[in-house]
Amino acid sequence: MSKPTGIDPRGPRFGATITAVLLLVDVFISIPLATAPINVEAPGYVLLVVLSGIFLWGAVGGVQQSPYGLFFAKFIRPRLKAPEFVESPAGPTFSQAVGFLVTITGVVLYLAGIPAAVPVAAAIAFVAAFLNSAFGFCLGCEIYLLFAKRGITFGLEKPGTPRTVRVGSDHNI
Amino acid sequence: MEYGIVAGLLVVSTLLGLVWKSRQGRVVAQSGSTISLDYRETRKTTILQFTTEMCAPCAQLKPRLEKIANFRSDVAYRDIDAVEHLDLANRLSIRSTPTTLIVSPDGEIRARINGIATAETFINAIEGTIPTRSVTATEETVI
Repeated sequence: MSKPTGIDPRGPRFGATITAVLLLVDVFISIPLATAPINVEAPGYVLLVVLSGIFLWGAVGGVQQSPYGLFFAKFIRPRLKAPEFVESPAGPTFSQAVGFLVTITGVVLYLAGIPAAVPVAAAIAFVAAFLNSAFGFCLGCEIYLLFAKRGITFGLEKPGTPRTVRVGSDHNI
Repeated sequence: MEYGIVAGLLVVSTLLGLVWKSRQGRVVAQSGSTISLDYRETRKTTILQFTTEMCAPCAQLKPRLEKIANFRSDVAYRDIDAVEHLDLANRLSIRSTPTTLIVSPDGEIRARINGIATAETFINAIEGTIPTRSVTATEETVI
């Protein structure tokens, strides 16, 4: 019997929960930054930089290799029953990339002299992480196709090149 | 002020989640569009699931739909990568995945289900017993 390929879907949900909490904390502590002079030592800014780095880690190394993914695999997954199904890591990894884009934009705009960028970026990233964590919202499901229709497939697929149409579970056309 | 903004953010996010959740698994009855034989089975109702590599819940839905097809000799299941078939996805206005179409044996698209739904929902959609909203093509469309 072949080993199923894919990841435990509870892992990304676990990571999204921690991310959502940290982003909400960041929104809370960075709100005063919006009306203060630029300060690169401000905790709200520093936390957003750290979260941006974690998103980049997950986007480049894959969601399984992110700090939350590694923690889940080592300490939580062994205590759980086997998942009912496994999923491709591509979707959650894509979400990490989107999270990185949002948070790094906040970091860059803050450095460019727009102090409100930190709480706004943290709030936007929080909404996506919270929806994933609490409702199972799949960012890749909702927006990846919109990118693909514009020819942006992040190197995963080449649009408009049909390879297979699977019929049932056991044969291809 | 911080408490108010954080509370507001939580409320707005929760409302967004509830709205999104309420749209999952909704069956939209359709008529007037047909789909070519390349994407369906002859003499069977076809469950046509659009997926992408980025769609994590598609893996959850697939075995559910395969099971329906395995248990019913009058139903077939197909999954199509929407990115590999962008023209088809555009023509069918597939905007997110998973999106599942119920195609009658004569090729007419009878229903569209967005997102994850129970097996019972799909079976009822195949039987045509729970159309919650109807969409009729303004003119006959062959895809």
